[in-house]
Amino acid sequence: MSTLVLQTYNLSKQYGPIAAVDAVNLRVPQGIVSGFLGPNGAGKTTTIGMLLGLLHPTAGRIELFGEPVTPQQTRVLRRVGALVGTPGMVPHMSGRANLRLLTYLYPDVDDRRVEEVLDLVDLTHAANRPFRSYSTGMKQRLGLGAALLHRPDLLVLDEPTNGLDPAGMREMRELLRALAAAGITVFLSSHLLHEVEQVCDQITVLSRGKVMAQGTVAELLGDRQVVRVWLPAPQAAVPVLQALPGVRTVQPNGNYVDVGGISSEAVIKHLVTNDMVPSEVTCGRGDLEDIFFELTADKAA
Amino acid sequence: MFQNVLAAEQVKLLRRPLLWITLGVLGGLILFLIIGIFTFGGAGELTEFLWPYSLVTLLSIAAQPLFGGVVVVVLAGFVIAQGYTWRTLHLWLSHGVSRPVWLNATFSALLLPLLLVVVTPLLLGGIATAFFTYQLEGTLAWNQVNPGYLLLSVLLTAYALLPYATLTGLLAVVGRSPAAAMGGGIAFLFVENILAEILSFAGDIGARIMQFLPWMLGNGLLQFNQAAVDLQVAAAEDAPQLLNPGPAMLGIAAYTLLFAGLTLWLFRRQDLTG
Repeated sequence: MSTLVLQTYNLSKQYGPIAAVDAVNLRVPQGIVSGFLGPNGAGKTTTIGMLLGLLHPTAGRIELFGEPVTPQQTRVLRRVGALVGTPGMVPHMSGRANLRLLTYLYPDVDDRRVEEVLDLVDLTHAANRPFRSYSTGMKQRLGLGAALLHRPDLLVLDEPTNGLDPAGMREMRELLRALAAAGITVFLSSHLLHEVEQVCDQITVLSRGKVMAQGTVAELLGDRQVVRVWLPAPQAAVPVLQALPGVRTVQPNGNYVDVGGISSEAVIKHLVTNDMVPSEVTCGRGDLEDIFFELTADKAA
Repeated sequence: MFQNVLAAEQVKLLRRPLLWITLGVLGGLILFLIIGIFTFGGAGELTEFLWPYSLVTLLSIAAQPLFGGVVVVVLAGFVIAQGYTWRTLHLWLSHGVSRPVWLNATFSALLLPLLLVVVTPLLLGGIATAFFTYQLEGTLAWNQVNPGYLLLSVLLTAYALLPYATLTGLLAVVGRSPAAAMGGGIAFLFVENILAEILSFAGDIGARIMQFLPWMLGNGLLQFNQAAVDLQVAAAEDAPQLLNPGPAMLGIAAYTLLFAGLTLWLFRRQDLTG
């Protein structure tokens, strides 16, 4: 099993009677892109605030690289790069000057690295302009640059594609994949399903502060697989298929029967064992959107 | 880490147009005052502004709550509260800078502008009063200035302003906005002024209590500044009773530590959202 970079244990945050985050247990292995998915108000930013020592958990604990993190104990955050909301920069200073300011915290990061990062986030041309003159997308890119400046081992990003145009979003996805390939773990919060599905190896779905599902994209979509079999006598096959352990749904549809919650191999084997040979088998998958709405439908505010 | 954060905070501070604008306004007001005094002032006022005693007077003006105090409140309010509004505070903390280190470095970075608030009127006013004194008397008594004591007086005058800087820091952490910090700080300066007026009419007990207001502690401490020049000017008859510089220094330290301690206590418990 690979090393866990980020772990939370029953992490909770209560605001009066409202549980913004409710006993969240996260486990993020090294070198993957982990998606943190949920509707607005689900508790994603609050969770990230606690991960970065900005908010005090009401209960539970956090470990990054095996070291505890609390607002009073943040040493390990030097191995983390973060982009949460609007990047915190000095408005009247240029993008370059803002990044150089951060180098005071990291004696091993020099001006050459600042230029590398400006190039990486495609801001070299605007590096001398004051931060306040940047567009939202440029601000977001500079924030990402600040997060990457010290070559962190873990990148925590809260809605990083906010304000980016489609090309910028695609570049961001490619960059995140490249970072993960280089061994950097990425923890990415988003409410954009498409973005998460495309870039993440693992997904945690959060709704009203609770973890509704956690796993790889394949695992989450796995139980939603629908196997469609064509049989000469579909009505006769229904009870047979219903008897198959693990089957969630059996739905006749003309000459077809849709079987949910089980692999195509298991369906074929079971039918053949019962002397029913399907002449055609196709597999359909629900998409992440279906799962997301199913998990959060009655929970979302 | 403290030195690194302090160095970065100094850079941020020195690149703020606000710092140079407020110092410019401060210098402009001092020059305006001096020109007014030398043009329209009576003999009594003029005595206090003749070089070299003008150096003591200028230090005294710099330490006045409604002069240097206001500038310190404005600068401290902006510097600390804008950490919240610009979210630079969030950025630095999320890079593993501990809360006490950030707060101590930010307060320490304020020491430089605090000194500039004292040095600017002293330098500009010193030059202006030297010019006018030379015009009037045809000579300048350089030998009456004690450079060592003058330097110490500058430091003590800046020290006298510390309670206002830390109080504004406290208000900035509580209010998380420059407006709240500055509004609260300036309100305190006015309330302190009014309270001093009221206490001055309250007999002996009032006078004793008044000695312990930050403003009066500052005035008590600044009695030391007389040593910067070998020339004494008699205190006005209605001058308030002041503590000696030693106890006044301790009183200022007590206020500073109280406000700074409360700020740290609150800041460590604060949730930083938004």
